[in-house]
Amino acid sequence: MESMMSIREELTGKTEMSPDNENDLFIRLEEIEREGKIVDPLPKADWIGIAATFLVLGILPLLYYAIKLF
Amino acid sequence: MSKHEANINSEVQFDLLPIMKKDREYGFRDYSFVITGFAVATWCFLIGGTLALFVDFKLAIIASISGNMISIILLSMSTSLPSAKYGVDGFTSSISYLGHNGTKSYLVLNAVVTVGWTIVLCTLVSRSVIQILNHLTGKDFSSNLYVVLFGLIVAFFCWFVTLRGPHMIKIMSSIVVPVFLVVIVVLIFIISKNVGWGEIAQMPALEPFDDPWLNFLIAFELSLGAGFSWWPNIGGLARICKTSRAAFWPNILGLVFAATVGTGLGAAAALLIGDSDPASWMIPICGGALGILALILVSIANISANSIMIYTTSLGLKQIKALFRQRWFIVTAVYMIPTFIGLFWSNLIYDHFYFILGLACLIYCPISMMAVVDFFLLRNQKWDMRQFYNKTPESKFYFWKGFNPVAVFVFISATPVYYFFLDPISLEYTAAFRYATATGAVAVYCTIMYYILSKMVCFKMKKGGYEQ
Repeated sequence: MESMMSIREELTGKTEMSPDNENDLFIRLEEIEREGKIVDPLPKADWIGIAATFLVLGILPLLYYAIKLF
Repeated sequence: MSKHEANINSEVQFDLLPIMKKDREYGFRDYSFVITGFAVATWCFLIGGTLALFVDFKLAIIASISGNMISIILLSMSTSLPSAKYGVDGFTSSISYLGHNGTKSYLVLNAVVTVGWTIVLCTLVSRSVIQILNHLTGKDFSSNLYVVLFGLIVAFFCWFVTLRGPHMIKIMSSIVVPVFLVVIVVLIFIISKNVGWGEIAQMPALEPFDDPWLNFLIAFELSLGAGFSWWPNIGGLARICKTSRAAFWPNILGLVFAATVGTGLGAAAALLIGDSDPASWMIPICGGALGILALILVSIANISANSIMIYTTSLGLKQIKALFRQRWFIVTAVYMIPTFIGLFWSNLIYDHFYFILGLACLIYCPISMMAVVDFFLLRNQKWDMRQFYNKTPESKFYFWKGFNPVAVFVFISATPVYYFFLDPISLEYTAAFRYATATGAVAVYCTIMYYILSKMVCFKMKKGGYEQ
């Protein structure tokens, strides 16, 4: 509730939105601030997968052909 | 104000709100289908045809996977992951590093790239119509006059579809994805049956340079551009995904692997016919009736894709204050007038379409790298969401007069860095290009410069809300 009041105080009339959309925005912002996010970020295992994919399918083919064709 | 106009304005405002978890539609599988349908489209044929100018079939596939993989991973980190976490699209999130007014300037730059794509797709439809007329009448309609004339008619039709609103666009898009997949399957079947992939793999590139490494690098560079071209779209889609995982991995499946299938097919057809223009393949490969049907289907797909681009970019342009109060007709006209003018040079733009990929690298690569550094390194994956929506100078994301001078400097200075390696319009390269691709060099330059200058300027002067 305190957070909602602080959001209203800080943003009312400053969003360039209609009052209806502005009100909707405040409700959403309050929920995001309470939770710290809407969905969880990627887990660590996925980051390892991303790094591996980046290296194996992104960088390695480039290096392979650099050695072969340069 | 008419009801339609009010709806558009309401949609623009509503579109800016963060999308909460309960309102999100796409799980992993849903988004995989959507992004694959989006990725495997006519531009794959165009890109594949262009790659075939420089490399053979095998290298086209490898360059496409490698280039797209690097750009799509960077792109997904810069827009998809933050957008999924906080529910805002890529343009809204760019306020955190460009500033409120910086983002509006960026919207205009983005429109320039999209206008380029619209001209290319209108010309592709125009050339398809000419191929059909040539085949049916036995006369030659291939002169520049007819290309321009049909291109203008197509552009007017796309504008008409856009003015009819999102409902008509949704109807057209729901038809296009399955139709285009059918065209791809038919092409794969015919090429496999009549020629065979072994023979395609033996065919040399159409107009390569003498240096094989250089040819591969250019194919790789163009693939990076193809990947970065997705920047305006994927942030908006990621905010509808239920998890970060669903927002990230389908991009790899669709925009890298599925797109490479379309690109490979485009390269194969170009090598087979000896022409990089997709409009000229269908009738020779598929035969008269089937070829005409394929050209008609591809044209419908192009009109639909164009209408979506005009609609979404015009919606974005509505965020600019001067256009927000204007009628929808006027806003779309702001987009369409440069398109109509550009269509008078349609053949020139279409035949050098790869410069749009270079332009995409020049614009979206610096933006992506700044976004990654800003969100992951400087802000520790946390945003003060209020600052996006406070449109007054009180907002911490207002920086200086609505612009972040660090981002502006890095963005502008990235252009000469790119040109130091490669001219994206003429594809003239320097000796340095053989040692580092232009986009690779720009990516490294932007990452280092943005990090150092942000620490030196924004952190020191307590601008941009970094102190939190």
